[in-house]
Formats: sequence, structure tokens, C-alpha cells
Amino acid sequence: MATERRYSTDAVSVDEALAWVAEMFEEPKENIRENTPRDDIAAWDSLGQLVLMAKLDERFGIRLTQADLRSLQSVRAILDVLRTNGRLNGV
Amino acid sequence: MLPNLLEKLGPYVSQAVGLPTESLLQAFRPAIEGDLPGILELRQAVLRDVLWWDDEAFVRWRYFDNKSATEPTPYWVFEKGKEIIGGIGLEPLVLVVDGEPCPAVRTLDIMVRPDFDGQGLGVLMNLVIFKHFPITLVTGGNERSRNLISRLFRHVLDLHVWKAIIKSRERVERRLGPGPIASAVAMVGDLFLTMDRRNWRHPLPKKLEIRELTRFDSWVMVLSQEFERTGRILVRRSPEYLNWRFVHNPRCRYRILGGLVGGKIVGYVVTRFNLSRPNPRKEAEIVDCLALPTIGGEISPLPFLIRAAVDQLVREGACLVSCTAFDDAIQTAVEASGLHRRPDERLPFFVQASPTALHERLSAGQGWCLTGYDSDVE
Repeated sequence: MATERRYSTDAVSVDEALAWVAEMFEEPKENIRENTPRDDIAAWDSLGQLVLMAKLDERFGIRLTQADLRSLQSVRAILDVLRTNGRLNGV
Repeated sequence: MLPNLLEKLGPYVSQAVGLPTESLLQAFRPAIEGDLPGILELRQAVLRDVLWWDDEAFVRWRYFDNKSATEPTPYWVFEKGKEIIGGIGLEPLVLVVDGEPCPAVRTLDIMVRPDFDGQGLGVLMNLVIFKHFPITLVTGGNERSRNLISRLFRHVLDLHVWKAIIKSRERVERRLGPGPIASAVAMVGDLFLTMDRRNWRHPLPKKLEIRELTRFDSWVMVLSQEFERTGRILVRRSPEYLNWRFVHNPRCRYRILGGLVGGKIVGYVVTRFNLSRPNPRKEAEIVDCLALPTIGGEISPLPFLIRAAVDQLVREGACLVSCTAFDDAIQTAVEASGLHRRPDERLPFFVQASPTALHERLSAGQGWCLTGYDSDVE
């Protein structure tokens, strides 16, 4: 998970994380909830998956494993990744 | 922007597929004959429910036996540990832009093995193809792939779709259900449709003869050159290319009608009525056409060719005839032949090119002449 890049070590709230996901996939905030599946997010295709990997790396310093990637099938899975890496507050 | 995207996203693709970054680009390469079993295995895994054709014959024809294609093989594979986990098909062609011939490729048949789907391999393959070829064209695609395509390519225009209903039974039964009432309504409907088609029929000009052709010959270059001028963009028609696409195609049979004046061909139309694939509506297509603007400065041969093609498809048993194209002359000819535009049906067309000036010229959407075969893998 370690990386030499500069990234924020601050954790975010669930609301902030959801807003971040919405912005990344260019979806209205109200469309993104914890239980939103990947299939309901138009831009979360293979390009979206790469963008998500890049953003997790750039903002949070999180490098996903292949197992992480296969389990990324909903917004909740993104929150789980943030949580497991200590980047999600309040849970 | 896109080359930078490859550099930026490449490491994440390598992370996703489990390959070191330095070997990622070597893993994506033109196919060789020995890759054929792996390619067929990949296609079987992706297409399993829709494979109605002899896929080995199709792949050999499209990617290994295409004599009009330039080297290397127009199919690229992504290999991981001796297994082919992704592939992308190319159709090399000559795009004539304002009279200047430019090498280009059409991308098609992009496939990723289901267990690697959604991990960025399709993106990587497209980005690498952009680096290798100055012009990449793509038309259509399914709803899912269009979303990705629209972010990697420039959406230039939408091809229009026209249709003529020949037999109404299938439509009537869809609304009323099968039975004697539907049969009676369909019979009356078909009578009206036949009368309507007669209204669109005009006597053939005396000097124009329409005849079925078995192959394309050098005359097609003369027709193509007629359109290869400033302000126009079209795929060059050559006999090698069209014979490969339409005459030697193992997946379906095409028919070619030629319009002749004094023994000289002034236009052609290619049709397809494929009953080998699932085709419950018995839909036939006008796939391609090209004709001189006028015969002796008087009358356009294209509407006569289109009408002859529709008549031939009716005789063959088609219940629906459709045409997909983007060109003013084709639009006029098709609409003068009794086909009606379907405004809610259209086929998006995308381009990616370098250098920037060429990309901007192609993206402007002006002067394109596209027909259904520009969108078609069959």
C-alpha cells in the first residue's frame, strides 16, 4: 500500500467519500449511496475503474490489489477499501 | 491528451491484470497464425450465447486471409502467461480526406475474457491502437461499450436509419397476438404496403440498365475517385477491398446490383438478407451503395438502384428492409424509394486521429459519406 507520492493522510467522512465518488464518476450526489451497485453508475466501466484506482492512489495513497479490484462491485466496496486503509472516519 | 492517458493509466492496468508495468506493452501485440486457437477460445468465452456462425472460418477470413490488409495481422491480442485474455480486431482501410488518401483502421470485435472484464484492458488496447495508427474509426457498439467509446473517441455524427415495412404480419401479431383477426389485418396492411411501394416506382431511364454482378472490378475505383475530392471524406472503394468484404465473406451472402449506361457501370448497391443468423423479423439491409451523381448531367441513378434492390429483397421474402447511412445523396435516393426515416434510431460514429489538425477536420463532421458497411462486422 505504501507509495512515494504525496497524498492526504486525512480521513474523510462517509458523506465526503460519497461526494468524492459522485464527482469522480460525474454523477449527481443524490445518485450515489452506499448500496449503489457498480452497474448503476454509467462511468464506472473499465475506464472508470482505472480512474478510481488512480484517484485512490493520488488522494489517499491506496494501491489496490487484484483481489480488491475484483470485489469492487458497489460504492460500499469503495468505502470498505477506504475504511480498511484507515481513510474513513466515524465507523 | 490520450498518449498521456496511456502513460498515466498504464501502471494501473498492469496492477489490475497482474503484469509488471514494463511487460504490459509487450503483452499486447499483433496476432500470429499460432494464436488462432487462443483467439477462438477467447471469442467462445465472450460470445458463447450468440455464436451462430463458424467462428474459425470467420476469424480466418476477417483477420488472417484478408489480402487487402496491410501487415501485420489486423488482430491484436493481449497475452498473459501464454493465455489470450483480450483481443481487438482492426479493419485496415484508406480514408480519403479532401482528396488525400490516409491510412486508417476501423476497430471492431474488442473482447476481454470475462474474468478480466472491467479492469481496464479494453481501455489499454484502444490507447495503444491510437499510438500505432493515425486514424481510428468506430461505429455503433452496444450500449455499454458506447459509453466507453464516447470518452476515448470524438463523437462526430450519427448515421441515419430508414426502414420500409414489406410484410406487416409480425408487427400486427405483436400488437394483437396471433389469430384470424391478426391475419386479416395483416392481409389488408400488406395490400396497402404493396400499393404504397408501387407509388414509389418510376420507369427506368432508357439508357440505364440494372444487372446483378458477381464481383467488383476496376470500375469501382472510378466511382470512388468521383467522390475523392475537397470537402468529402469517405472510405476508398477498391475491388480488392469490396470483394474481400462482400464476395468472400463466409458469414453471410451479399448481393450486388450494378447500374450500367452503355456497358459502363455508373453505380452499385449491395444488399444482405441473412437468414442464417437469428432474424425473426426477416429484416434485410441495404448495406452499401455508391453512384455517379447523375447520368449525363440529367438524372441520378441511385434511386433506381435502391428501388431495384428493395424489389429484389421483397422477391427473396424480406419482411422489412432497412438502410443506414450518412450522406445527402443517399438520403434523397432512399427516401425517394419508399423507405422512411426512423428519427429515434441512429448509429453513432466516432473518430480518433492524430495530428490534431486532422483530428479536428474529421471531428467537424462535414463532408462524410458513410454507409451501413462502415458499421458492420458481418
